[in-house]
Amino acid sequence: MAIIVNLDVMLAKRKMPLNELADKVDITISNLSILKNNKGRAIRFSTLDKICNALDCTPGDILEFVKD
Amino acid sequence: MIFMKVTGNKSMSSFIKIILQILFVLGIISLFAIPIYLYMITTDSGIVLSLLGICTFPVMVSFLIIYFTAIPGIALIYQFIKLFDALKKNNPFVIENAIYLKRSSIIGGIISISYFIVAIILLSNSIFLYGLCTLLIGIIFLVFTIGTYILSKIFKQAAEYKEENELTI
Repeated sequence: MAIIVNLDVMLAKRKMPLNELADKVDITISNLSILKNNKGRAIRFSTLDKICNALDCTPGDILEFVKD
Repeated sequence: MIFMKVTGNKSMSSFIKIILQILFVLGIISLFAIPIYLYMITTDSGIVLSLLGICTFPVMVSFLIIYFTAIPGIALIYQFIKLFDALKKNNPFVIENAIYLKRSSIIGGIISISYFIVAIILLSNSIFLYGLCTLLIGIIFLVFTIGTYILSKIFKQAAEYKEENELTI
């Protein structure tokens, strides 16, 4: 897919482990892993909102569009 | 019975699965037992003569076709055992169940065609009562085939929706 999730990059920038983010946004680590590994099909606005809040960033920092 | 769970352990699905397993074993036993039984009774010359009296060639062919529909019949029960096993595990909407239903519809189609052939043979030889009964079974299996085909498509769609939903974070 042309949309890439850069969650691992943002996590590295914020020096935050995945389990801490999972605790903060109240989403299971397995679901966050699906998102991080680009296996997810869709992301809810509410999830995006929680992640952006926790990482103090914008959706553009997490999602990237790459032309095929 | 009506208050039982539909899926999961000790539910209607597990109960039906046990019945299907018994039918599966009985089906295999009778598949092998019928020729042996026929062989045993035809050693009696009187029965052979009376059988030759009623068994014309088309009737014999019809009997053979009906006998061999037992094989797809047993395969059909096997597919349903697998299907009810998935229901017992509380996981109905998986792609495997759609595949089992699709296979069931193909098997049902084979049985239906066989029965239609037998009905044509019997009716064209003026054996109307058995011919009509066979035709009826053929029609029932045709409806079963179409029904299971539609169900397989529905299960496939449901499995896709479920996967989509599970991968939406």
